[in-house]
Amino acid sequence: MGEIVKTGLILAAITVIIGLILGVVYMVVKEPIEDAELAAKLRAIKVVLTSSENGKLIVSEKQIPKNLKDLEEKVWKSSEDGTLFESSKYKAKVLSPAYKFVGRNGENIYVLTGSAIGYGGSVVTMAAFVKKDGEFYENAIEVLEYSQETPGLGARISEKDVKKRFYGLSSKAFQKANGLKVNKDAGILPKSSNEEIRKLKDSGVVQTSDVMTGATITPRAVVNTLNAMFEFLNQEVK
Amino acid sequence: MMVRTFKTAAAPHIRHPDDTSKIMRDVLIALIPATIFSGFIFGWYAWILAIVGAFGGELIEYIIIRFFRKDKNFVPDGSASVTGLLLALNVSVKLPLWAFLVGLIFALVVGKHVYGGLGSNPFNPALVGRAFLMISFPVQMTTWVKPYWPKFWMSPWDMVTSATPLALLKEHGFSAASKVSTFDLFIGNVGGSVGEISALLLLIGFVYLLIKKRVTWHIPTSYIGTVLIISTIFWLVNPEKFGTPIFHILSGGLMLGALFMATDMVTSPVTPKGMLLFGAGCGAITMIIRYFGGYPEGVSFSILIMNAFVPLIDSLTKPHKFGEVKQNG
Amino acid sequence: MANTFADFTKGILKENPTYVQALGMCPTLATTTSAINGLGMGLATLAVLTMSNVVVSLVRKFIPEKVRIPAYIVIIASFVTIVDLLMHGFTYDLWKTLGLFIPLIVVNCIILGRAEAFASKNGVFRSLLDGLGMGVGFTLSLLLLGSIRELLGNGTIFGIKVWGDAFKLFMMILPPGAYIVLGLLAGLFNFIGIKRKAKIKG
Repeated sequence: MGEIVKTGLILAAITVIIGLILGVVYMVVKEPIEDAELAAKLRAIKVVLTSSENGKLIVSEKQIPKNLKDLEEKVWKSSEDGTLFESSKYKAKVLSPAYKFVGRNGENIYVLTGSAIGYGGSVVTMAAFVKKDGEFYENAIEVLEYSQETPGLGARISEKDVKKRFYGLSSKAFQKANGLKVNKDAGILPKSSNEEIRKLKDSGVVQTSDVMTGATITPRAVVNTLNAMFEFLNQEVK
Repeated sequence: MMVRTFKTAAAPHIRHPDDTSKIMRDVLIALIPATIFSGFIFGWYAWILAIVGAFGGELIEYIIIRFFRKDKNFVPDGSASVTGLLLALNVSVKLPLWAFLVGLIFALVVGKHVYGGLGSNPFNPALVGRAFLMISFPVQMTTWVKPYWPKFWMSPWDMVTSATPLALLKEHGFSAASKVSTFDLFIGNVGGSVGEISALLLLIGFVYLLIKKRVTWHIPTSYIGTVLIISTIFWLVNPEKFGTPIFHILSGGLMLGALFMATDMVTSPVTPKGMLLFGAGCGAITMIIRYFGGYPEGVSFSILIMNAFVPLIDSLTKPHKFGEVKQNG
Repeated sequence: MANTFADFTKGILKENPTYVQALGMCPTLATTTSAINGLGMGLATLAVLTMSNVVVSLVRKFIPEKVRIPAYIVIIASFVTIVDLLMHGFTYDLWKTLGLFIPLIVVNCIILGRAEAFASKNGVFRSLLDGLGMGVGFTLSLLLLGSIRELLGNGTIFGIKVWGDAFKLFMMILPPGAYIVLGLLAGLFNFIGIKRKAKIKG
């Protein structure tokens, strides 16, 4: 009996000591972690607000948030539970908060974050939509979280050449019966010229099968997130 | 110094004129009609692939045995030629030659010699090479060209690409796939891998092997029979989605796979019962992949999967010795 | 002194954790799709292994025989959490790429294996050297595997173009490539081991 108690006490002592050490470490790294997360977010916002056509910012330099306070000023909508909208059709979510910017010509620009299930877990995407002549134009995307995707396959979603395929989508592209699609799901073989890839985009098909061969599920998660965002904007912005 | 001892096995001492190289020579002869025909459909490059496969395979095997095994008494037995030729017949004509050579080296090194060479490899080396190429060069391996009978002077770079009948079935249903007539499927006037297209010529080659008693009928019959049964059932359920049985038997790599790849002596079961089981397994997996899988064609993967089951099948179908009493029976 | 030095070097070639002992296969196969991932995973494991070896060696006399495994696991898990937190805070991008695999260091059998087989029986200094040696051996193995797979599968090493798009075997960065390269390297290391033994025997 005595030995069991002694053994238990030693094990308890070890756990307590280690718990304390972990607590201290957590307190030390809490701030750097928050800074790193914020920096990554700010970087992503700048990327999606850069025009996919000429590489310039679509908002004035002043508008780009540089710290947490700037960012909070731009919040357009937010919710307590972290989700703004859930699309049952595309099985994707729009996450809170959503941001709103004013473009160079006074147009509204919405920066949304959304997620859909990829190959191994959530794929979180940020995208900027510009409201032009009463219609939404998707400018650019940034993939924030893809750590569960297969390296070398789905994880290539973060490569620039791949992300570019999702840049510059007009509202026409989203208005097809089943929304935006990747070319493999649409049953379209990859085209080689930029002209044709451009044309596909307008007809609601994003070609990815040539730049990220073999991966279908991850780009599908991204297009579904974009579809959900489009649905959300049409519902919220009149 | 090594002392060579000569062990003598127990009687009877039967000598038989057949050896590996004679069997392999007959297999090569059986494949010649389909190979020659492929050049008329896909242009001269198909012949280049076949020649490089047959001679390159033997050269690679020589290099492995001479320099890695350090065995000076290399006698070509033709098995590497068969592997090389089968691999050539199993690729798209759009595959560049260097990629084909990489696949061939992979087939012989990883598919055959790491296991100890001919007789010890569990998987058909040509199919190992094909699976490797399929995964490594998915674009080149699945870009098919239109048939150009009889323009053998065409080069693959000038050819118009088209989808295979099986890919059409998968993407657009049977009404699109059935634009290719059954007669064209039978003689081989369709797109596909270099040597898989002509059911007729492959059958002629197989009959030659049967007459020469190099193979038995069991595996091809049970393989194609299983495909026939499964495709009939599915055809009755939904003809537009699943296609007709005759279409499934004649299209894709089924003929080449069932007649020449599944029957590989090293990687198939030894007993007739085991062979029937093996063929049925191949047929079932092929149809599962064709109907529900990501790829339109499943012949090579199904044979590879069943290759892994061969030791199990062999031990299950081991014949009983005469007079043996069943234990625990 | 020769003995302590051997504690360090044995992990690199003679008792290489990956290729000779075949320990820690899960991170080895899963994370080595590129040289940088292999290196990052290796270094994270090196840090955890060294720290856990030292601490286990320090407390080895206080821990009762019966609960030693839970105690080791608690120690190892907390070091993994520390490494995870530190990487999250200070090397954000690498942390993102390695993602899931950092917490998996806990169940990497090298760490528990060395704690049980070496650190619980030897002094602090020797355990430190053993942890460093095994960690370096593991890191080098992962780096080698990652470099070969990245080079053959993507034409680059550390993202630097070697031959680029000219020669890419896509399979090499997929799971089958990991198994094949690992198998060939394990064969090579064992071959070297056999040759060395034959040499010593003369």
